Amino acid sequence: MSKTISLNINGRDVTGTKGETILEVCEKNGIDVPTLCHFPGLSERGACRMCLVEVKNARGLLPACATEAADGMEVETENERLAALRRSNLELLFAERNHLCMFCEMSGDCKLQALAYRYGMDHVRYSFSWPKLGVDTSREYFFFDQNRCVLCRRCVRACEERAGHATLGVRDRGPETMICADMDFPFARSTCVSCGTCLQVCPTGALVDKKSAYVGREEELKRVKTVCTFCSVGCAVEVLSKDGIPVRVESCWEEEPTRGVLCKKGRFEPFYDTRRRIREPHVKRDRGLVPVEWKEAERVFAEKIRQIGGLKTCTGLLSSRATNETAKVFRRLFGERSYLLETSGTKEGNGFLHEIDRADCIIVAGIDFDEDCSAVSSFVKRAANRGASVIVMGSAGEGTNRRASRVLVENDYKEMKNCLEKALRPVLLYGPGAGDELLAAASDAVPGMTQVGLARGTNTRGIEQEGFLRWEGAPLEGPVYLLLTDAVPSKALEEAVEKSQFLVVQASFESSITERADVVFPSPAWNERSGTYINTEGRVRRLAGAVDPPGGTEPDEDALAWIRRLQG
Amino acid sequence: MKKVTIATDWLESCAGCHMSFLDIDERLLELLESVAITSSPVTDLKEPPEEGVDVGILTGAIGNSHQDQAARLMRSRARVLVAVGDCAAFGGICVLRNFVEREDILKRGYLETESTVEGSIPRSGDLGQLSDKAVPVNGIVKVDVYLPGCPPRPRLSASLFRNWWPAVFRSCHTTTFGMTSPERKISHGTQDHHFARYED
Repeated sequence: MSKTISLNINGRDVTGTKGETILEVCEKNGIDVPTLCHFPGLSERGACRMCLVEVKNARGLLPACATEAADGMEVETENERLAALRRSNLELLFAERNHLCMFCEMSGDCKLQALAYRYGMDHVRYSFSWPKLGVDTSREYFFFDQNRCVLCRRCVRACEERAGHATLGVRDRGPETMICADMDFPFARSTCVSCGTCLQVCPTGALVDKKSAYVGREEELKRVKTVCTFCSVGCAVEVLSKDGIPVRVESCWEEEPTRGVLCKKGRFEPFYDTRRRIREPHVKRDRGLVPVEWKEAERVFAEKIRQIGGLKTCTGLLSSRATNETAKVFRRLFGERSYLLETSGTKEGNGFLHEIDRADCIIVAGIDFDEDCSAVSSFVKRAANRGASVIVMGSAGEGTNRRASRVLVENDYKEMKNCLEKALRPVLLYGPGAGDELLAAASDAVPGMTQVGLARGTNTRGIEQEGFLRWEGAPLEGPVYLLLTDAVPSKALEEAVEKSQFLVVQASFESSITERADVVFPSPAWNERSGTYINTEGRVRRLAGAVDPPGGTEPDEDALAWIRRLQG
Repeated sequence: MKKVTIATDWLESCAGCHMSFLDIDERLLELLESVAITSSPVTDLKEPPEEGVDVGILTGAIGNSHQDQAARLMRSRARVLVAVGDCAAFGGICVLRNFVEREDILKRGYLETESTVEGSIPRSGDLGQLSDKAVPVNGIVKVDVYLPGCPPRPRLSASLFRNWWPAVFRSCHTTTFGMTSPERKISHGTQDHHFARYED
């Protein structure tokens, strides 16, 4: 039972709950306390001293973020003395490293700068140090600039507590103190996986995304909450765009399934896609593919389909990036002849990913986190950080193996059972590589244990529910309708459709397959798609188009709808 | 009524702060009813008059020996010294060179730029000698009032003289300076400031 406490803050009587910090009580009561190193959801460090408050009868000033509120406390959060001290503190921060706002990417969105304005820091009374500090640009997607670092350690805490990677740390003491990766390696040679969690929590311009730098301030960007489409986990993301052009992806701290953790595939890689966009329908003519009006493409398609005996002769191939809504329409069109390019490869488990956070023993089997579902590795590493035993069967990717308590031979079920039987709250995390034998062995050891199956592809769970079967890679010589969305076609697919009598492709980007096609329709890309997915845990995830697709691109299901009319 | 006398000078500066000051447009005429400008970089008189001025305005950081002298001269002849602009208040863009050795800067600037043909580093004693580091004005002399911004908005320059200035002026003469309260947009220099190389 939580106990209510009453305090007096700035002359106002307020209440809080026992166990809350002074800062939490202030926030709940709408009292603004300046903070810099505090970040919701991370542990408190009290590193920046910006939130120092006066507590009556306390010895010295106390950091609001790290001091538990007590019954009867009398607190002052703003007065002349505190303002002067906070300004001195800011002046020291500005004098210590090279905070040159006028050429900083974060100018306007920087927490340090905002505090300097708030406390009227119009000059610095201390002599500037102007130290020569390095910038680490070795990572592909974002760089780290020591010059702009205030050592708040938000990144260090986010890396360990949220992302679980525990790559970031601090070296040396005093003015030599530096944030570093592992044992002070360049980032590219460290254990950093470029998940970008640190980037999102940095209050200054010390961590900067290369793509979205200098393209605009926060207030000029539009935020749309949607779902990442690059694996079956379906992390909650916000797509930030400016004038209809996506500039950056950020994670959502309080949203399942991964609560703020993303991987580089979802956060950065989509912005580095160099494939050429398909903006309008194309039809094959003598001199190759030529762009045409929708009406013309539809006419060519209808005529050809009539010639070859109607839609029922057509094989439909669907990418797992399609939404449930698209899959429904697709299935109705192509019936028994509709296939999914890749299937989940695992059956749905009985648990959720967040249950890993309460587990004391985690078995990881048949998944390589370096390749797929990378954000899930954070759950496993977090478990390792807090001392849970992580048992890897075979390999779960280098980074995860390194953190595992034990790496067993892939089929050492006997030892796995031993580990499971000793555990109180075991969780089995299995990917497509785990065989039935392993699942049976686990269920045998602990009947009804929590299991989470990680699916291949993206919306494979959702599309499989519509009754799609897997395309087994057989050559397709008859007419083929391929809804590729923005997926990259596999080599096998390219070869299979090579001899197709009539090939229609609906895709976002040009590829060797679209070149070969007779008719091409455009398809919305990842950030333009709306609809629902079912993620690997069985959660329904809602996608919201963050930006408008180019030209006359319609949602996939709408583009399919006219084909239905044609048929009926 | 006796007019308030003003002298301005630019140090290591792009002249933007002066431009911004001129951008107060017709309000300048209004201002001239109560203010007399004695010296400035764009008037015949370049240095503040010997008898002194009420307000000295410096823009730009201090990066060579001439600027150092100009700042000291202004300080000695002005009752109130105002540092205008980011360079004067914090060092601004000028301090970017503080991360490179002095000789390397001279080499880069006079010998190695892509457009230089047979360049040479000017070493005449008549020229100001580049100092090791560019510093804000308060790194050399005591400053009473700061007006940061790159450049400060014209509106601020205008109100400096119209609204704040009389109060600032009075306080400089009659009271010891207190710590600035947080809601004040402009602060006074304080007596307990620890200047890096403060000489007065």
